Amino acid sequence: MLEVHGISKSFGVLQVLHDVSLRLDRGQVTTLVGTSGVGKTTLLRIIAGLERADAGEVVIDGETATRGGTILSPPHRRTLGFVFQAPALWPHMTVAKNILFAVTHLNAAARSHRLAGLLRATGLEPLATRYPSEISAGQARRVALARTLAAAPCYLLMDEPFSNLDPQAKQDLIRLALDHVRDGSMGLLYVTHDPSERELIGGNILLLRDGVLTAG
Amino acid sequence: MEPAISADAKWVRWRANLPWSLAVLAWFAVVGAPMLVLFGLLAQQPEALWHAAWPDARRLQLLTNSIIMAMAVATACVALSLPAAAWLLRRKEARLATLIWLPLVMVAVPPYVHALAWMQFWQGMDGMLAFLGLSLRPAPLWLKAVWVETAAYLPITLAFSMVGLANNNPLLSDAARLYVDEWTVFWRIRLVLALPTILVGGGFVFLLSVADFSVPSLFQVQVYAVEILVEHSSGVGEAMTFAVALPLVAIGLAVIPLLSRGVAHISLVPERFGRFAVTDHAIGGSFARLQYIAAMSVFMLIVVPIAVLIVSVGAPATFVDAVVQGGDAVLYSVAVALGAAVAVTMLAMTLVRRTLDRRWMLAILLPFAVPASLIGIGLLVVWNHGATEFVFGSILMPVLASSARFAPIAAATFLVYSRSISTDLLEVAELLQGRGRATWWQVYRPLFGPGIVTAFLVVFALSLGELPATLMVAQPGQQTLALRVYNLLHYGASDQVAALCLLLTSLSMAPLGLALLASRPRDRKSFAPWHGRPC
Repeated sequence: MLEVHGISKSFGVLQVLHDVSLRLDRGQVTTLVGTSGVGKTTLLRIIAGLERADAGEVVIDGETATRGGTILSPPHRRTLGFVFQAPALWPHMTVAKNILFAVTHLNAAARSHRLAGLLRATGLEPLATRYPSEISAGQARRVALARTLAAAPCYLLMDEPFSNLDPQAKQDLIRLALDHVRDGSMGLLYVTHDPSERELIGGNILLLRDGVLTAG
Repeated sequence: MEPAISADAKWVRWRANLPWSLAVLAWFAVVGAPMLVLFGLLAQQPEALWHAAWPDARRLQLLTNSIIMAMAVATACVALSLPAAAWLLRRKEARLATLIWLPLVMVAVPPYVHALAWMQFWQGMDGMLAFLGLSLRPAPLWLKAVWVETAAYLPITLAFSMVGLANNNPLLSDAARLYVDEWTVFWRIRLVLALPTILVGGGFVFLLSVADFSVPSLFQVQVYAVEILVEHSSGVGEAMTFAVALPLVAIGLAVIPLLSRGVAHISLVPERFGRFAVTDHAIGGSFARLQYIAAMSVFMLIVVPIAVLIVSVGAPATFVDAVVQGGDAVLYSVAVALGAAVAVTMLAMTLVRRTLDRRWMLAILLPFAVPASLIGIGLLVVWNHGATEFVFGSILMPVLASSARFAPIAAATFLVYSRSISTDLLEVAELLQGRGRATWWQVYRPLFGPGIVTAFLVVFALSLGELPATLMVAQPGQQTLALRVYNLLHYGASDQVAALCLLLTSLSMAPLGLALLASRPRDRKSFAPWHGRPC
């Protein structure tokens, strides 16, 4: 279980998160909604260990990963996946290498097996040898999702990942993520301010407003 | 069939292009003509070309020495700069945020000043060891020359390393942090993305080092650049001197296209990367220690020369005496530097807006392929005529020498700065207000102002210490501070020379330091990742 206890965070005099707590189990979906600039992304980055909190704890499967301003477990040891608002693909690596970067710990056979499966599932097979500069924005989003799923995370954090996609592509990619949740292997925390996405994702809804998290 | 263009439209287009066309002509007169005239002389004397095409064994050895030394200096500069830049960029303390800029200011201090300071430092160390009854085997002179040039050119690679690393999109590093440790993130993501920019810095240092004669001549190291000077002094004529220099020009011509490709992709302000700055995850173990050692080495290479000069000067009265005695040279140098900085900055401003593609970048950087002393010789050939006597014997010659040398730097600085300004901002202003005074004052001036000021100050500081080209063009009675220092250096180190070096260093560093301090509030917005915290 992913547990967040009493997280607070300020940037200068601006307090963006105030005593935020939430829980997410594997197989569970939670949608986090809130207006722009309210601190949704900051909360996800603190959970992932990419940002320090001022106070509070992040506990992942019983292990404290963040306590106050101290990151006890670095991001790559947290069994978390994170799909950012931008695809964040490494421009010097091909699509295949971007995906394989997430599974460097596996042997060659396991890596190529996982790569093949994800390329098929995301429809990226013909693009495997292309560089990020040679694919469209929508295809880049698919690569970003495939890369995240390649690492088989226990909890997936998605930060408005499909905001500029057409409805059909958005639906396909959300379904792909939800498939991994439904088999019970992964919990999903999805950030959005788009009502149509919220309907597609379903699950619990949490509202972040003025730094305080409430049930939506 | 293309629609016909009316006479009015042609006039409007011609008038709009006029400043740019004039700037191209001025660029050609100042920067291009000295080089072209040398090629012209060579074409008239094929025997000189033959002489250069078959260098004897001694010259081949000199060329090899030059290349090895330049590669050693460039490698040392990059190897020290990279970890030091990574360490500096991780500083979050407010005071250090200013200090990280200090090494860059040292770019204005000429190599021969570093040479004097280090010679005195080593002399002092030897004296101290002798006093303690110890003695060390003296380091070879070539190693000392490499050390001094590394110290002198380090700020260049440091600046490029900092720009390269700071321009990394932090999100790309964050995406990698989810899968691998910080060490791997650095080597496989941050370094790979920054490498083109870092190598551009290394390339510039290579070119500067391979063409420098001041440091090798002070340490009696036999390199090709010294040979060019010797050849010219023996009175063989400009064509033969240029022919002898052709191997160095060829090296420059091979390196410049690679550099121009790199420079064309450097941008100073990573606005598009959103609000997240470089996160400050600790890199543990040996790499953290390496970063710290490199950063301390950089500071040592900066602090030691200044400290040695201050100690060598001794009493403040000595410094005042030197300033009074060299007063004319100081005023003359400041006038030359101001003239060159104004001319070159205006030229860069007019030219660069239209020169964003790779071919223009190549044309702008091409003068770097020619050793500075040859630019001086080219200027002599161009302006030493009866009709241009008013230029030849005047202060304009040193101004032209500095302009010809540093115009590419001003243009590249302004270009890199301009690339960071979104064209949307300019187009919106033109849609609302046209290209009138209001647009210029309220939009263009604040947006381009820092780039213009930076280009001006960099050229001003570099012109103060310019030696190789000025040495060629200066007429009797025309003595810049750099010339005075260089001439006195050959009579050995003295408190007077140290005082003049300190003065030259202060004059060169002061404007850059002031500019950096003055631009800090703006920097905090636009260069937020350099300070290592969220913006």
